[in-house]
Amino acid sequence: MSEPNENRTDRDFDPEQAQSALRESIERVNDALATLDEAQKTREEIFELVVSV
Amino acid sequence: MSLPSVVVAPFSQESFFEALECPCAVSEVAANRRVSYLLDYLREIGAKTIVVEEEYVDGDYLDDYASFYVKCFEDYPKRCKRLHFFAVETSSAQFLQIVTNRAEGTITRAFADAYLGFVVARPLPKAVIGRTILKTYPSASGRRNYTCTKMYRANLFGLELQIESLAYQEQDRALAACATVALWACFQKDRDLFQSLSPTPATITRSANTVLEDARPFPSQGLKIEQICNAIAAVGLEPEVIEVKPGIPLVSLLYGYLQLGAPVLLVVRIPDVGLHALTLTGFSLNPGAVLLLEGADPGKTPPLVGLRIDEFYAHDDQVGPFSRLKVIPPTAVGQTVKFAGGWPNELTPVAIIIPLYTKIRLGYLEVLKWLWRLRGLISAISPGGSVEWDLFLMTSNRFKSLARAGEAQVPSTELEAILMKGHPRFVWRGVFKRDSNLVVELLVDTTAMTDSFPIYRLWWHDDAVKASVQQLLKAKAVETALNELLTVRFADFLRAA
Repeated sequence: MSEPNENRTDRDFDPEQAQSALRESIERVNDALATLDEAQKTREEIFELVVSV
Repeated sequence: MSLPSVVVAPFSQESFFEALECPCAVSEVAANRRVSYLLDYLREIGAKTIVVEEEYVDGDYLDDYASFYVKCFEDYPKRCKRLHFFAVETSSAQFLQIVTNRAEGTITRAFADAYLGFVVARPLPKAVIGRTILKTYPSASGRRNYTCTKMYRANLFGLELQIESLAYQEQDRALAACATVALWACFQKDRDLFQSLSPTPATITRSANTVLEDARPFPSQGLKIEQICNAIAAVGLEPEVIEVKPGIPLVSLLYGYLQLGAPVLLVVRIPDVGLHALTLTGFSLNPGAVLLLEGADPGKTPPLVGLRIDEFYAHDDQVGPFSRLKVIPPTAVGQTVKFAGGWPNELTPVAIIIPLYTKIRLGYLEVLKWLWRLRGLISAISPGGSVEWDLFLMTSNRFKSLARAGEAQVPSTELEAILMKGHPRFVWRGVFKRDSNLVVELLVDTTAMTDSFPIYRLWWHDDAVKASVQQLLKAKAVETALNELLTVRFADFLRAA
């Protein structure tokens, strides 16, 4: 259960490296949030389904 | 006046079938799938003795009787039988001594402790299995979690018995189809959790049908999901409806609600059969990962606790109580998980419906978005490892109890504030672990609005990660990026945490 792309060290703070790492994170997070936004939409047709077995 | 008739016999297939016999013939009883399931189940939990109350007034059946069966031309009895099961051998004579308080106290206590629960046998053709309350399987060193159970009491001729379980019954197809009995089981537990109503099947079907439908309510032909929602609203709860899609980490989501003890109504499609509803009552949580995928794209969704779950436990009215529902992981990204259990075909999940307390407004997926922002921050600064994110509902009182007992591993610097300050009644608890070590933990206000910032407490377990986060949060050069990743409110909150 390892996360991808988590290979940076935190010993020395380098603003440029941090900026770049954050930009990469923003891209991944935005992608994940968009997926969740889409997943949260429940279609109207779902409410019309008949559960009958 | 004659005494009520009671049968005490060693538990066996013959004694069980015989007890269920009227009005079904033994051959009909044997052909009932639920009866076969219960026979195996009772054997597995160690039933040794069956005690049959020949005349029992069951409240749920009585309401069904008054709503439907009394108006049938055929003369259906209004009383049921109740079959009790014990994990010790007892003779009729000894049983009589126990109920009349002439047995030694130790014998009576041992008999009561060996109670496994009961099955109400309805005097109906086919649908003989009425309200059934049976002990769950053992926990298997904590792997099996039957979270949606409650304490039931049974009085057998004055002898007080109790059992931790969740009530089950099979559908009768007159007053209740699968959705009605699935809701009925949910509402049993919800009453304890949320102080909501716990109506009988006939009342549930009636309230569901206040939404007009093409088919007549009785005999019940099933319910639309809209009608299921209506029945939930009628008991004073809100229906949380989630359509199952590939982007959802389905197993973790189900676990997130089940951890609170809130039963989840799962709607599945069974090929060549149709849509079926069952009540999820628990899950099997393993020490290590047992799934590679759980529906969400692992490139976008970090590992969640659901990857350690291999099966759920369901009240399936056509199979039996606490039946195993094995998780079949997707074989590729873009697919959802499926389930196997009790049916010849795989079950494809279509929708999840969770009856919830009205003030639990923030759903699992909404809270997950905040966790992913935090995950984005941590992964930008900290090295990898074997990671796991966990998110689940619980009551704040339960959290306080765990914190006081030292089981929630709250740092001493946080303990006083967590115990003494006010919390919402229900909270989402988020936990991030790396290499099995706690890194960060947070509490989320379930009463918050979707657009608000709902995290109200957060504490770090890993000082090195905390120091790196604080260093980054103070760096002016990355402030814009941080605000974009976290939002301004979350960034400010973390600076103060």
